[in-house]
Amino acid sequence: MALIARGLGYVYGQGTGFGIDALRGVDFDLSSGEMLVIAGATGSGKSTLLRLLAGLLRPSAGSVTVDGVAPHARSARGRVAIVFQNPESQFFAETVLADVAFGPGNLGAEDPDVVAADALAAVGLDPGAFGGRSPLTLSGGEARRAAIAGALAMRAPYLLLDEPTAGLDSRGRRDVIAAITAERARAGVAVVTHDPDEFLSDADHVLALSDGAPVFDGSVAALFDAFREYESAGLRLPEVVRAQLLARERGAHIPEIGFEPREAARVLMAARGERR
Amino acid sequence: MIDVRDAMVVYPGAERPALDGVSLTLSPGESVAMLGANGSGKSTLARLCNALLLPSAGTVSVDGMDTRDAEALWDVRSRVGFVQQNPENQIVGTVAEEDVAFGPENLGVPAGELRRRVDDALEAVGLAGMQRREPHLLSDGQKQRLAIAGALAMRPAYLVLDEPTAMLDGTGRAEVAAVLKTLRDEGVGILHITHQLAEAADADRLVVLSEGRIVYEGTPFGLMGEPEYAGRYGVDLPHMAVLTAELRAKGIDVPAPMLDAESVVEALWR
Repeated sequence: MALIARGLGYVYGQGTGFGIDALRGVDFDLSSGEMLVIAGATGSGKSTLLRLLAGLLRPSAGSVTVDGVAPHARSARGRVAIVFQNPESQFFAETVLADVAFGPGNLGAEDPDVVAADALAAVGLDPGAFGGRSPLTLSGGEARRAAIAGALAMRAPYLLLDEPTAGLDSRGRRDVIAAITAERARAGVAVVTHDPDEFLSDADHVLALSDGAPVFDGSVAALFDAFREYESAGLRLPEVVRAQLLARERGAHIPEIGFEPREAARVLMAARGERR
Repeated sequence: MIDVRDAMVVYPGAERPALDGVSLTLSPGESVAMLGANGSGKSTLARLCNALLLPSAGTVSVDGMDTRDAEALWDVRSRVGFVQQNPENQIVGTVAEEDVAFGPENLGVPAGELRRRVDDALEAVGLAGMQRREPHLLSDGQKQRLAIAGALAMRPAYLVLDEPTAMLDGTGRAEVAAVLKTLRDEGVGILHITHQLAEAADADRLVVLSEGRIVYEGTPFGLMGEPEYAGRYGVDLPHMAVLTAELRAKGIDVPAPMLDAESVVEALWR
């Protein structure tokens, strides 16, 4: 049981003479309980990959299967939830609660409003304060969190998120990151991001794209070993992580990389003390 | 100068004012960065600057024109360019150059000048050569840069940008930052709303909003030296600023926040 893609490729406007080769040769595997980070610069094909995985686009090359069936097949319905970059484009109901409850209601949940309220609370939006409001009155950060709640409420086995923390302040980011990483308990989670900082410490696996083609595919530890190659593809690891990798390169003994800045400071100080 | 004085904004049905007595100035050739948590009033303040919104109390003037003066509305709007969070809401053209030309064409800019403005604006945001590209075939980051080009083509005296880089990657952010710096040096007043203090590092002045009030006004690096204070108002210090502050506390010689890994490793092993 997994969300799998093999040799995936996509050309926008195929056959029109204005075709744009957005993605090629991508393999992808996501199982329940895993978190996968899809990294890449703007225009590298990350969002196209998510749309293919969710069945919103049909591949120009290769294949996608969700638990053995095509993602647009009727039996795959409700198995893949996706959150787009622009949350405003997802709202349609009159209240935030109704909007979030729509997915689970449609999938036959017993009490969609309860599921929706739980999902809102999980992303840090008080259902009492926000549930009755129109989605159009939400601030940018609130709208993004409500959109993520809508996807969480689907309780789909695979959750795909496109830049879920863009435009959020620090509290909003913390809430959203916690809610998303918690989903791993019951789902496979793939997060598209151009700032891998936020999810790297929780990631099992990293897939990096550059100009539509994979440039790295492996574990976080393997990514750290190959960070120079990763950077030569125009991608960049968090600066705090880089500092430790640069120190390692100079021969400092750093067995574990710290992701948080305070932890990184401890790691660097310990490595410095050891050498002296 | 954009002069916001004691501005108050109360949205219908809201419990508290979105802006509660805010005063701020922006001069030509000055760049001001604005930070604050979601809901702190940043976007509301941005909308006051070009009369998309009028203050419930207090005044907003642009080069001496009161934004409540209906006669001055077109003048105000042509002086203050506005770039929103979501580029999809501002793209109107069917191809990139048409979208960028929309504003100046409406102002009656002659064809030769129009061509030059459009090409300059696209080049300034790193989209040179994409004149005939359809906006829906652009990536989201490219769309954002197209929206900035659309505002630039109006040759505004001031540019107000509401989180213009929220969807851009590091390269895109650096490009936009470079564009804003050049514009500032050319005499445009820049009000840049952002969540990233690192992005604000180049600004002449930094303003932090919290619950509709200005709670910090000073230099970006000044705030980086105050991690506790910044955290209280929902401002994230760059991780590297936190790291260097920790190293300094442990006796390493790092006099100012260092934002790049190379400098930190040099300081540790020199």
